[in-house]
Amino acid sequence: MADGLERGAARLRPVSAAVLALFLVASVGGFFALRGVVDDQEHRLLSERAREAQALLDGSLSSLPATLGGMIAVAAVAPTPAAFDGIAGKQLRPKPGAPGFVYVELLKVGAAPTVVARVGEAPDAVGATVTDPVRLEAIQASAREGKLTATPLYSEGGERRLGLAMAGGGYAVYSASAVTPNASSDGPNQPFHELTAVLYATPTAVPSQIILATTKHLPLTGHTAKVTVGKSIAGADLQWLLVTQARGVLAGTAAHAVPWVVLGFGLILGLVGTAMVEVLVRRRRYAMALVRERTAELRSSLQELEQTQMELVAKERLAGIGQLASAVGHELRNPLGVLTNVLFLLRTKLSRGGPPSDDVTRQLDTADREVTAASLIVSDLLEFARAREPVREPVDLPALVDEALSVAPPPTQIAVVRRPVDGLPALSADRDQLRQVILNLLTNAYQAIGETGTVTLGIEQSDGAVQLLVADDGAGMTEETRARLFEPFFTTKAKGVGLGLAVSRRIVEAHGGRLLCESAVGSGTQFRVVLPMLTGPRQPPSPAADVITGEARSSRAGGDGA
Amino acid sequence: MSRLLVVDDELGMRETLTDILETAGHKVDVAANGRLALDRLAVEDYDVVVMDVRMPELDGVSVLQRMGPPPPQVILMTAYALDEQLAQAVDADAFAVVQKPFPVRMLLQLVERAVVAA
Repeated sequence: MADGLERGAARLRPVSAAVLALFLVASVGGFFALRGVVDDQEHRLLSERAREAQALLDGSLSSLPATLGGMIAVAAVAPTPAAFDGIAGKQLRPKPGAPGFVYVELLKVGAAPTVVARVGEAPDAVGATVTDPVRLEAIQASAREGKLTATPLYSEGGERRLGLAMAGGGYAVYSASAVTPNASSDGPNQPFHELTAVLYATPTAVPSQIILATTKHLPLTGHTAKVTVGKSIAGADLQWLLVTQARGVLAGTAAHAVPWVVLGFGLILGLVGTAMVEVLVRRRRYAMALVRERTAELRSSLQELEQTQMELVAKERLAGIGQLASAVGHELRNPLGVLTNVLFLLRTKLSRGGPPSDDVTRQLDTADREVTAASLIVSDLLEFARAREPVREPVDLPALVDEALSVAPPPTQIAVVRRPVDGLPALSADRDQLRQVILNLLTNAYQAIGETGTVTLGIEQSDGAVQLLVADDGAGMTEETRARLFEPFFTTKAKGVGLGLAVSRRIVEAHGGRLLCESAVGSGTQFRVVLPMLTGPRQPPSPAADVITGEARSSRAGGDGA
Repeated sequence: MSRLLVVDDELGMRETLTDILETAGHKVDVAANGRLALDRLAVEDYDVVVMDVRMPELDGVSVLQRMGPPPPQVILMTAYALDEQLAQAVDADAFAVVQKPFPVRMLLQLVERAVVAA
């Protein structure tokens, strides 16, 4: 059972694994979903600001007097030119037909700034190093200061000068638009180019800045607050307006942290939840296993208890039956004794005027035999009900056989043949018990023969043992019958309780001997009582062979009395 | 003619034994239990007592132990098995113990021998 409790300790239960997986998927999914929301928000804010900036510029420019010239420069910077892919060619198209000039260029910033790409009327050709002293000075100055600057350069005399965007290093997109004073123009000034495109094209994944700068003639200063993170910087003759930092609009805000918080929280929750589920599941399984184990133990205890109780009841009942059998058996012995006496008296009376007729003699014989049979049944029953230890005394075996024959003489058509017996050593045995054994074997032999036949009795000595043979020439037994012969209550006879042989064997074994049986169908049956011989001097054969129980005692008693 | 006392609480046993022993030529008195037997023994001399072991009032073994001198030869009859205790109790004092039911001829022979011993 302990195995069952420990098994799988190193592995997650399926249910806790499912919980863990659910939390993992939910947190990762939540993380990306929220990141998308944040990105969207960032884009939305950027585009809003771009629109605001555009509107601001448009408004500012349109409010300019037509005769007033001005210039706007926008710059963005990144470590690699790839960040600006497409800007120069596509998104920063100059507005065709717009007054003034517009150009966009991609610069490689450094000690000798070089133009990488260009759209519009840029001052320097692609691949050329910036040579304009004012511009070069601005680039080198911003490189020294390590920050991005945008410098619109404009000559009020109508001479186009060049704007400049610079950074501490890397690449910069610089776009400049200028409006030349145009006295002939009556309408409002047009926007110079699509600032929105610049703002959108500015990469968010790399450090970059967008800077919007105007000449001091453009009255944008007052709008600084409207472009949120804008910051004005005072210059010598310029108003700088930092419009925005493209990267990380939401950096440092709570919104930016939300996906990470969700992910971390989800993971922690998942782990904690999984651990709790795991613990609960394991506890439950352990409890269930424990309950099963205890239940099994209880059940087996209960079964043992029932078994014991049944055994006790059976034992008690057996004991009760034994007592009853014993009491009944003893009580039967008295009437059986009286019957014996009466039969004797009748025989005596009937013989008085000469021998009685054959049928009377036969009837008296039958009555005697039946009383003997009844007595034997009682003795077997008593012996079985309460096995008795043998009370040993010297026994004359031939005399005991004589006695048994006188008590249970053979029926008329059965002959008894006795083999000659030589002198025998003293046999120590319980007289009554041994007599009972002989009577059982004898009556069994009579019954096995049935009508006509011969019973052979013999007493032999072999090494250290006395053997009593009782053989009949009856039908013999099958192997199956022989195997069960000594079981109590086993009988092949129509009548009888089947105790004779069981009790006989028990008695013989209590004497340290053996009761053997040889039999085959058609060749009769032979029982052999083997008893250990008593060591010691040979006892002379008893003079009065047919006197039973009191025999040995009578000699001693006689000796005492003399 | 020898004098015999038959002691048994069973009427049938007393009567049949009396008949049998008288037929065999003995003079027979009877007693229905151990106490009556002692009473008889106090006033009469008997050669042999044929006595049951288990009886009301006083059992056969007790009678055997209480009989005054000169004790007659006693043949005990018992319906019970001869256990060690009974065997020891009667070993010294009884002439013989027979288990009921016994062959009448055997009892007659025992009585004859007991009479001789007495």
